[in-house]
Amino acid sequence: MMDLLALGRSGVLAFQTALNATGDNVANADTAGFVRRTVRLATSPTGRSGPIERASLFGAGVMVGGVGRAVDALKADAARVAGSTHARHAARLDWLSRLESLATTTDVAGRVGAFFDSATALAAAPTQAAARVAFLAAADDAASAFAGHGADLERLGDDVRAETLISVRRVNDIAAALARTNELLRRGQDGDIAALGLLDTRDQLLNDLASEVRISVDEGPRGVVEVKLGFGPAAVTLVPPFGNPARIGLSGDGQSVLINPDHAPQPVRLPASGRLAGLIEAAAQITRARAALDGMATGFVGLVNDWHARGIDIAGQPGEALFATTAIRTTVGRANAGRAPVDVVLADGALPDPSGYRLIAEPGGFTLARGDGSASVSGPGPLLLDGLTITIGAGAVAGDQWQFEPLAGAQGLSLRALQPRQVAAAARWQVDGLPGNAARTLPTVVDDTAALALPGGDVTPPPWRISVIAGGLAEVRDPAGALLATVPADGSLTEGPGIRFSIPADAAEGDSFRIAPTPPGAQDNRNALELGRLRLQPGPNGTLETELDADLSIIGASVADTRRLETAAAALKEDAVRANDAVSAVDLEYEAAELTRLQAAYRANAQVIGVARDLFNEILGLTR
Amino acid sequence: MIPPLSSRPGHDAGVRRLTSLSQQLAQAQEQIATGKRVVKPGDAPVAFARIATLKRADGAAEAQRAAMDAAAARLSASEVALAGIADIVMRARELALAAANETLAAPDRAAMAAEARELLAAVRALAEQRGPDGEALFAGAGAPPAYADDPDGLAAWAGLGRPPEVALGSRLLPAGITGPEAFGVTAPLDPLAPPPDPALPPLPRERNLFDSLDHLAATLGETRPEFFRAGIDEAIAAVTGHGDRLAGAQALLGARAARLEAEETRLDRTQLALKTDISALEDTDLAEAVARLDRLGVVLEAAQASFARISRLSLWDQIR
Repeated sequence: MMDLLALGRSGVLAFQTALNATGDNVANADTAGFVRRTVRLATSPTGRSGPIERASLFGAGVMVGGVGRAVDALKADAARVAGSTHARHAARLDWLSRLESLATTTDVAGRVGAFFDSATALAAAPTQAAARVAFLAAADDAASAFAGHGADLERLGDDVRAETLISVRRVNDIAAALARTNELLRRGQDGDIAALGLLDTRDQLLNDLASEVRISVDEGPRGVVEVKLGFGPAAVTLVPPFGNPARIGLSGDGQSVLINPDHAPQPVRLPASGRLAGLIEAAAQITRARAALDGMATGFVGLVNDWHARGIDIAGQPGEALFATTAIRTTVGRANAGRAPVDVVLADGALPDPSGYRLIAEPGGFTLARGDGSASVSGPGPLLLDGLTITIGAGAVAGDQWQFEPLAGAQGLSLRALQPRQVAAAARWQVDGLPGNAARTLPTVVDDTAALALPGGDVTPPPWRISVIAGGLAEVRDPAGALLATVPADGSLTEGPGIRFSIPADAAEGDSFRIAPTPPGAQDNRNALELGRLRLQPGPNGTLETELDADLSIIGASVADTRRLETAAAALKEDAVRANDAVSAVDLEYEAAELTRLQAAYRANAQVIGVARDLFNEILGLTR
Repeated sequence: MIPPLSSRPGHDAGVRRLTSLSQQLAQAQEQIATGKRVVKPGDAPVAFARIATLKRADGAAEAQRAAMDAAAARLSASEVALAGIADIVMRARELALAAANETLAAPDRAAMAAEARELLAAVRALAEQRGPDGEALFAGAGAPPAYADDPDGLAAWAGLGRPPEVALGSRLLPAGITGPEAFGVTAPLDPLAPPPDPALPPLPRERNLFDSLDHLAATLGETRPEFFRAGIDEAIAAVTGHGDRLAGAQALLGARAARLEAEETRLDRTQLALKTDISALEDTDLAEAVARLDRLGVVLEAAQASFARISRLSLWDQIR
């Protein structure tokens, strides 16, 4: 009878605990990282307090064997790995999409194409001022496309580096938190409520860590974990089961991860998984895009400046360089107390020192020094050093600093201040012949700085008159008729002062030609046409524009690739998470059913107590 | 196993499915609204690269068309000027032939000489004709004027080189004609030749159109019969020759204009093909997109309805 009461009591207590666990599950149905609690019931051991007590015949009721967490370590690990892979592709996709949209909106290839098209328009109307203005405007636009895109890519590179650093810090923070959790878990009891909460926290931390880097986890007694970066025998321990975690850092170029960055840094090969890996991959791609753009900008400037120098402008002068290749970037010191505006002008064609410059405000003046300290100037301003003119406005406070850094490549590109009449649309040499000539073609002339003088040593430059005489020879005369040289008229190249020329082989005796420098105001368009030809001239990787296109499609291809991989990884992750959640997550319907079941059991046990009480009352009644 | 909606992952998965459907719907809507299927290189890298190439070719063809229009304008301006000059040369020939009759009195010949000088002035003016951009049509690549008076008072070509060219593919087509090609050249006097015998008429020599007209006017004022006869014969031959040369020059210009026109037709066809290709690559197939939009809309509605319906069902309502 007393047994019955005790049995009822044990049942009521046990099912109360189970109901509590269910209530806890329902309450935490939406808590991230919460793992469903299960109550394990066990038969109470018979014999209550010692070896001398007699064992009960009917058992001793039920007791709570322990509260457990519904986890499947393999499924949890699969979910972590899948999450890691997905995080990598998601991070890469995010940054590559930004790169893609920058490249698409800047449209460098389109603007370079418009520049070449404007050269065609210039060739169509070499004397029209509007065509020259439009040509310069298109050149300016092409230069600013390169410079703007270069600056955008640099900013993008800086942003991705900042995010990579955040990711690295997160890894270090989580590793530190895991080390502390390990310590707490070691101190606690296996299976007590506080330990369960800690295990939830630990799993949450492991999931967070896994989304940053690929990890492998070894679980020891009481849930203490050892976490390694990567997997396999070569994996580096990040969080040991005892003691302090290791730290990771980012290498200077942002392309690799170091372990123990502060002392004995050692590069780690991260497996291609986790957000950190995705970010590093994206940074590498952005760096490649920058290098490619810089290379292309250099190629473009070289091509156009060389081309322009071969032409003649309206004033009859050789074309000047169209583009400047160096710009200056000003960085205002972070600790500056004053707000003085600083204006920097780089003289045309000046070559600033690659080490950069530093401007320091001193009491009563300023000092401008090269970055390597090899030269400096001081004074109240404006200051002039290496073609750099720096004007400082009012409001500087002693100790203020400014940095000036020369920019090359795409960012250094800009249109020089040229007048429309300085556009060299005309070719350098003009050649003509009498309409009655027997020769069907005209002499050709090419510039050659290695050529020094006519055969015979005369160095009189054109204008020349060339008359073909008997014997396959031709006489070269100046406009006044003085004979300068007699040259072969057989199509071979003949040396002249700074040029090489050939007289067509089909020229007959009596044919007459003229070679003259292009005069000022000429309406020639041959140099402008030449740019159209150069545009189509392929380099090692095709023409400049196809190279630009190819770069864009490389970015596009990797975006499309990453998008596909991301979609696949997301599906995989969803599956793995779903499988894990089927074990660990709270299903409200299931809990409702549990609640009903446990409630019934509780009620039944309460009834047992009631019956025991009734029996007890019966017996008490007998004594009356 | 699909998790039930009553668990958080199941609920989240349901919501994600709905979101993904709305995203596809938005994408279809965007494709219809913009009319473009490929907007970013990542949408279709190969197609995007191809589109970029085609668009550049289309842009270049557009610039090329403008250049050919300018060249055509120059050619037709040159043709018009030459046609005017050819008319004048014909009139000069009539004058010369009429004067050769020898029945005319001295005052009549003087009037004819005056007319010949007028014709010369008109031809000189036409030879300085400017093109649409203010360029001298017959000066080649040199600066205007096309003709200047030399120390002997004769018109000599002041231009230089060849006329501006237009690129047709890899070939260059001169967009015009130079003065010497249209009007001939005056052979320079041989400085070593013995001085001419004043009693004999000078031998005929090659002259350009302007010098020929000048010579005609001078001959019409000639009073010595044998000098006049020799002069007028030379003038008739020269003016006839110039007429033939001008006809040839006009034919040459016409041929160049025809080549330009043929090239323009080819360019039209190329551009049409380019635009068709671009459109095939990047344009939305509207029928397909609208059908997709419809289908997605139906699916989304059904999914939303079933989601709402299922999440309404709950065991919790039954617990009392």
